[in-house]
Amino acid sequence: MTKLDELIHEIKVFIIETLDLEDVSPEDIDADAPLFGDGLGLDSIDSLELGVGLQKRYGLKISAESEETRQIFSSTRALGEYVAAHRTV
Amino acid sequence: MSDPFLRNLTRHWALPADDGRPVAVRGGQPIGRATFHLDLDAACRTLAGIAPGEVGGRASIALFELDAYRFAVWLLAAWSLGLSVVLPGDDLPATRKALALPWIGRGNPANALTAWDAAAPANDVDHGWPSVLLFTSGSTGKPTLVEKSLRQLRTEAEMFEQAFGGELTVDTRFVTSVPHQHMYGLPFFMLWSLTGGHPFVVEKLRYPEDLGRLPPADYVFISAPTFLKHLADAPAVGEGVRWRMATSAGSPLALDVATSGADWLHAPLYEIYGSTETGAVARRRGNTPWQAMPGVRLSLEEASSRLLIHSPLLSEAEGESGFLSGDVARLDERGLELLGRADRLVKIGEKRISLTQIEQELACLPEVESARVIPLSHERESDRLILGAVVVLGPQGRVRLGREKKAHFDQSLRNGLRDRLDPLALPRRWRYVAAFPCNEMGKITRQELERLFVPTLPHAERLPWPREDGADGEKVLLQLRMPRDLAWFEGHFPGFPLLPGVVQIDWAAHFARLYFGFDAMAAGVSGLKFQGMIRPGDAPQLELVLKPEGKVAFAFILDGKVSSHGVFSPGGA
Repeated sequence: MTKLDELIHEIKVFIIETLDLEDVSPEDIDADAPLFGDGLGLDSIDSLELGVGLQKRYGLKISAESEETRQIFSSTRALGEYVAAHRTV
Repeated sequence: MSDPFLRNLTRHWALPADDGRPVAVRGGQPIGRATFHLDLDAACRTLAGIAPGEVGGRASIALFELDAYRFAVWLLAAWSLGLSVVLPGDDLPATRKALALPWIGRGNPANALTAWDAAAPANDVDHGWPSVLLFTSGSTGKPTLVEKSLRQLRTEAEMFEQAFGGELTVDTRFVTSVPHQHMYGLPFFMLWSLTGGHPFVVEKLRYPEDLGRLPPADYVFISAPTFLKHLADAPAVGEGVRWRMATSAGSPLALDVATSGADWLHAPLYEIYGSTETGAVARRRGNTPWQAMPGVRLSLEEASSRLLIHSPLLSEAEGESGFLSGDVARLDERGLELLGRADRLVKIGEKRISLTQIEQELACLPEVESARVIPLSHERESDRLILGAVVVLGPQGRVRLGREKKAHFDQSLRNGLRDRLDPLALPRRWRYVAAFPCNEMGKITRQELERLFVPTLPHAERLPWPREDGADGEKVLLQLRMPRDLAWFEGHFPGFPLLPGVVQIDWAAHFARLYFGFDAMAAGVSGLKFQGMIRPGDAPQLELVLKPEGKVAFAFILDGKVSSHGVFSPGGA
């Protein structure tokens, strides 16, 4: 497992815990599937909660509505790469 | 019967006795006006000879008469004597006892008299008096008393004549499939026909076949969705039978039933929106926007978007402020759209979400037979409201759930809803059950549904439904009802499903924790014995007994025989 893979796994656990997803294990989340829409099917409130959570956990600042945010949340992998590059904690 | 208001209440009463027009039709034979007048006089004499009881300071009788003609005669006779009439929902002994009123109609020995007996009419009738008092069993299941004055009832019948009178002639007969003594049949079938001078058919239509026996005439059909949906199976009506219009009320009329019903009738089918409290409020055809009944003024309460009704049918007390309904609505120049019961709407992220709509959309998915959706207060800090879906799967869904991981299956149902619902409306928690849990009354309650989501009940859909047959601090007896397609039966064994022993232990441990707070996770189990088999459809009992040293003995009992037993010991001893 590469460092990025480990981080992606950690983020999956973080998403499950933050959003209290029931019956979902990290293996159930496809790292390349979108978090919103067809993949996990998260909604706007989830987006906000994840943003707040990421700020606390990794010291990231993510604004709720922007093209960049959409990019960051496009998949767990994209989120992992962003966290790896920008984390301050 | 000198009172002109009352006489004018029914044209059958006011018009001459010998004009040849029937008041009602029984067994295809007309009951003429002369007979009607004689029966009214006789009924008046009988009632005048009875000491009335009292409800709310008013001289009252209770009327329970399943024959529509006799009902009409008794009702008009009682009114003409200044009596209030209580219409009970049933004639059970308990109801009679609770009312303590002279009981008129079916079951009363006085009613066995073929002639209606002796006496004299009253004068100076006050038309604002509560002429009818109805007992309705509200959503609470507790009967409540609703008062309607004679003026309210007459206004409603006039309203129908104004709204629909163009569809019929004075000879158009009324026929119904709904009870004439309840708050839909009473105004629509009974009072409208009496007031308008239209003959009514005494016999109720119970089955679609009854339609084939109607004698030739023009008809108005006062009906309900339960009957209308069977019209497709109905025989062709006889020659000369012609439908003028039909009404439907009582429960929502599905669009396909509305369409096929109107096609079958070759006549307009009006769905009526209203309630016992408000009377008729609006009508529509198909799924067009609702149109207010004549004289009814609709608006929305600003804060809640609930429908505020001003209507001449409201009591004087409510007339000023209007009646605030429990329905959330939208109003525009095209008419009224009902969005759902206020208690079936929730707000998530400032979005108004209809639980009923989610249930309907879920039921449209190929995997789903039917669904209930309830709001779950979130136990975590974010405090957002999430939705839980309790789903009865169809065959296709059951096969898929057996093959796939639950999380994937949950997600696929969410995906199936995505095109039709806001993402916020997608349920987060999913429970699959063989049948919705019911309370003892056979009602699916919110409480029973919520229990499925209680965190102390992991995988609740894999548990049987328990009914407590006895419980004290030391002993519990539960009657278990097992769904036929309980998850545990699948694949164990193919063609010969059995409840696995390990599952029996798991169930026993679950209920031991529920009743005795016994931590079965840290417990050992000893003295295990499996003597019988538990199969789908069986109804085993589970007995739990608290023993010394904190042990719990369990036994599954089937048909009086112990089928398995064992003992849990704390700390694995």
